[in-house]
Amino acid sequence: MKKRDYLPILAILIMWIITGMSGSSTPGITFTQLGILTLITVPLLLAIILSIRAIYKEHKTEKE
Amino acid sequence: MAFPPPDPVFWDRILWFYKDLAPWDLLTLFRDTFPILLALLCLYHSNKTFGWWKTTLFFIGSFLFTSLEENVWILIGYFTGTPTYYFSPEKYYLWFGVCPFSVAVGWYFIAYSMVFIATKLFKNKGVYTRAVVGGLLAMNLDLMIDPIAVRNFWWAWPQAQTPATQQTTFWILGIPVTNFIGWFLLIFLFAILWEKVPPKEEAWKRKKTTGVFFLYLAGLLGLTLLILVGAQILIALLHIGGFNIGDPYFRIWWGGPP
Repeated sequence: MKKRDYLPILAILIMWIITGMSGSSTPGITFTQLGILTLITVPLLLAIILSIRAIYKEHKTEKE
Repeated sequence: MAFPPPDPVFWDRILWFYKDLAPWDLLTLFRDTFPILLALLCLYHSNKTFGWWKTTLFFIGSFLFTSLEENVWILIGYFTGTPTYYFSPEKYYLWFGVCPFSVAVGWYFIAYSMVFIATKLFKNKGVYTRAVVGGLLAMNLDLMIDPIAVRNFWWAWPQAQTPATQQTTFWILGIPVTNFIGWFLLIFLFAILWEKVPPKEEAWKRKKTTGVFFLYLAGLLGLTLLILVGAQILIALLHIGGFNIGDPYFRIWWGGPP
């Protein structure tokens, strides 16, 4: 296991941030609407956090 | 909110590869290149982890599977007179048929990352559990991407223009539900194929495994389209049967057609 294992997760995280930034600069999309769109993606964010944790644990176990 | 007319330059960009339809600006260039940069991150990871053969298989497989599905779905709409959707001609430079190259490459890195995340989260579960999770995660991401994309006219659903066609499809935030079914199916089916076929390499040898992989891929493409057409027919039948299948509340809240 290497640090590069975070790369696919990083790609999705960047995509999520760029999409959010596009939404915030789109005329007509309100702050509330963007907030709700963000809330909709909570399962994805949770999966991202848990997978980072899983990779971190794998790295730690390998080191030990 | 004014909706654009059906694709005005359909025939101008049906052919591969570069079409001089978009004005030269940094934003369009960014839209075309940033999915490629994210895909490069995944290609690097994949090559180091799985080797060049599996990396090529995943990249070409997911690229063809998703972009051909996009192309066929757009063409079905165009030739049956009930336009499904189309990508904005002035928002992209590089095309694969009627699908932007960046969208097809975007499918690759989303598929790769979601399958990877699902594998990390459910390492000890079965192939199907991981495929379902990967599909649902991709669909979840699209619940944010698509409504914002449509508002920016990166792509458009012309059916949303007329009240009559609005009623025959179930819309979520201005997007037909079949789009989200498609997102789930593409990643779900590809994840199963990815976990089932390439591991047979040792028994079948590389040449046969590659052939079987792409043969199954063609079959899955047909299956996906059949399910999507079936879902659309079912929704239309529900409408004819008098079921209220629209989402007027969310459509008004999100900003539907005038």
